[in-house]
Amino acid sequence: MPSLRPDSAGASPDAQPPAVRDELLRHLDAAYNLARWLCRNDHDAQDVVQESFLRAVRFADACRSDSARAWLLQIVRNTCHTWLARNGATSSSSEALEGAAAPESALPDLAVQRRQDAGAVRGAIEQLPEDLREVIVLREIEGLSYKEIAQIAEMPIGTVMSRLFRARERLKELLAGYHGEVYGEL
Amino acid sequence: MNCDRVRLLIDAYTTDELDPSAALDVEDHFKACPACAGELDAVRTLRRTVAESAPKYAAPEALRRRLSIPAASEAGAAEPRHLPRTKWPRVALAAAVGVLLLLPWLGLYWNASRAGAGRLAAEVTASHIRSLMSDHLLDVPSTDRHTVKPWFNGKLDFSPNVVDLGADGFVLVGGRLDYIDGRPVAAIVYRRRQHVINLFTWPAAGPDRPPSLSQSKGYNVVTWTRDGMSSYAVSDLNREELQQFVELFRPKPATRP
Repeated sequence: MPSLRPDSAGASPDAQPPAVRDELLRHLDAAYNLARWLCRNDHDAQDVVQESFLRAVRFADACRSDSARAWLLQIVRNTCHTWLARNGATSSSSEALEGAAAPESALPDLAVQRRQDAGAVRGAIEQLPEDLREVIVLREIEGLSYKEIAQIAEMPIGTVMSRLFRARERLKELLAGYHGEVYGEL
Repeated sequence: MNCDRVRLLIDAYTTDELDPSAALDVEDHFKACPACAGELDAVRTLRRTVAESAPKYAAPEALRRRLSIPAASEAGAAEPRHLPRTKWPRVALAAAVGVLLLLPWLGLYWNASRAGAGRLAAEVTASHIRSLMSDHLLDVPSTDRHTVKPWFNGKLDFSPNVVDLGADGFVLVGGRLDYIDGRPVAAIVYRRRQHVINLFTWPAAGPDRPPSLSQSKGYNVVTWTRDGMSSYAVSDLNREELQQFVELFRPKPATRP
């Protein structure tokens, strides 16, 4: 993975702006996914990602990380927290009621079932407090390692582990009724 | 190993992130403790449920397009841009105020300077790139302004302003004769770390204009006019530092023959 630091870019420091942008664009989906889960709506997520992206491009010189993804996600996370604090975290939850983008199945019953699954799981994750939600999203949906999460969330690995544990406990409680209904007879 | 510790490690265990000896300890514990073994199943079920059902959102195409274009997206860097979809009244208001404020200026200078400035920004950027590519950055390599400035005597019909900004981290490395907008111009070259700054100067008619920043081909360009001299600073340096450079450079009044 190319480093973001122009110093180590070698022969062509002048190629830095486009190279940084391209590298960051490769992680745009990850950035949006995190912002979308933290903001819980598309509109704020887009604003947050845009602001984060410009910040990342602007301060690319200060990037001390070898991973552009972790660097971008760290900025997205911090921008989200600032954003949510500023806007009183009163994100509209109307979107949370819409169906999630689960893959459709050829069997109508199964398709309906999947949508319900997705809705319930998404709703449960969205109900988690922010500090638990971010670790579960980074871990289970983004598939990052403890080390990467520790870097992004700026906390020790032990804290990441204990938060994941607490997040799971809460998720199990939130999904208990749902599991009873859907998987009860399985 | 006690139950509390095992519960913390279950997650790492299910993803093979435990070192082998810890994994063995955890496995031994599962054999002896049905409660923790049940917890392991629950964690696996939950992981699977989340993996299957929680959406992984992809960035909207419109957002990707917006961020792929440097100049357009970075113009709004200070404040996140609000999308017209739901916040159009604020955008419309801001646009209306902006147009009102800019109207007199636009009317006076649209044709004369605005279009010209964009073309010149592209031209000085091309010259900046050429100076780096062709290895013809300097005609007079010197860190001494008293060497660089007199060098232009007899080569130009004006005397460019050369300022020593070494104390502020912008090192003068020399000067070069260049050709912009159909006339010979002075290019003063500074360096900030590995970044080269080309500062182009030539006499221009028209009133003073404060520095304005634009982007061309990924380079930052700051232009201003003072005392009948038009100047363009071009660099791959970030815009904060380039603007700082311009601020340091500008206070000294331009010297004319």
